[in-house]
Amino acid sequence: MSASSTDRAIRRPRFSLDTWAIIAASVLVLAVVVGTLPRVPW
Amino acid sequence: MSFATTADDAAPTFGRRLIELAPGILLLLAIGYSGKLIEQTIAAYGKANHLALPNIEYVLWAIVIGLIIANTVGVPKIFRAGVATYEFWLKLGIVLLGVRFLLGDVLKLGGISLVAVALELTISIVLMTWLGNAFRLTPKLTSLLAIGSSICGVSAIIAAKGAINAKDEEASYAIAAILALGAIGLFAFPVIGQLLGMSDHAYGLWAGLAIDNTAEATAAGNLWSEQAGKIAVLAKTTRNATIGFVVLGYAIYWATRGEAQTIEHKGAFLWQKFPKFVLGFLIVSLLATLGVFTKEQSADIANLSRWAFLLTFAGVGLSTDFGEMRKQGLYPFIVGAAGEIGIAVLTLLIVLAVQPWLPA
Repeated sequence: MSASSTDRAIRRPRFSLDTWAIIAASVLVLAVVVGTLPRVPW
Repeated sequence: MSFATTADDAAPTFGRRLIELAPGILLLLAIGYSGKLIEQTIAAYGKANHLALPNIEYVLWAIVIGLIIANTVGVPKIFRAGVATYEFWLKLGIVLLGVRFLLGDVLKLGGISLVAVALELTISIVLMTWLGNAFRLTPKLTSLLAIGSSICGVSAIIAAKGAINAKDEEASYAIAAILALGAIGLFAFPVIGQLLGMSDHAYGLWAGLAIDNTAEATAAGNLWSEQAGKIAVLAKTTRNATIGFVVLGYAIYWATRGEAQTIEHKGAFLWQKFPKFVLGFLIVSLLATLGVFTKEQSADIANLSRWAFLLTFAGVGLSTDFGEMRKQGLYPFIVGAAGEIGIAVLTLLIVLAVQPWLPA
């Protein structure tokens, strides 16, 4: 691996699956509350 | 499975990672949605022809289609990365499901669950340790099986593996046993529940207490009913929240025997092992309790949770490889099976004992 790609990899934030799930849920909840998402059917 | 890149990767861009994941995620969606279409088609056919057909939930169809693909043609390589995201969809679904729990319900049901979970943890650890010793499994494999069966299957085993310095093959044995038994429980539990005429609450609590992997526990609950699915998730999440304490206990035990590193900062260790998505679930539940969401918004968030679970259930089927499980040998499986049957029976007795305090 080149030095630059190592640097990039180190700088990149490393989120756990749980953090990703919380981020995705926050975005979706916000989209529903703000009204960006159309009504969600089931 | 992780979306995060590590220093070992060639640091693919976020866009490239999404392209890698897309085929598998689309496959999960296609299988999950096919399950939903099969459920609807059977229901519509029964209605049109005035037939009383059994209502088989999309959950079962999605899992069965996934199982058939995984154990016949196999999952082609192009789909594997995306299929492995099913744990992400599970956690996302659970966080969003928080909208269906007002905090009062969480505390009330959580209180009953907590008593039941404490009993379940004790019984599972004692039973698995005794069986592991009786069958002369290695002590660390016995520890892993005890941790896996008492808390939350795969994640608990992975968390404990590092903490007690277990070998890779010990961890894969324990994971294979837990997953195989989860797959069997998934189909056996609804049948037993039906025979015993259990209520939604009692059945959901039982599934959440006795089935070890969160995905299988969620699926088994939803196979029964959506309400049972909610309760199963709550009981299972309560179990997951204890992961840090149990793993810490085992780590200290092995460290005192000089076979694992000593843990200096116990508080930091507990926080590191705590499943953070449980906090997301509690925050969404708190927002719902405070009345932040309108009725329509709550319905939309709950529906998003259902879509996330739809992808999860397809992933559960696609990730169950019976051939791989057979390769792991018989003894851990026998110990796992005997232990799980014992735990299923004992947790059933616990549920029947607390049933008077459960809502009808």
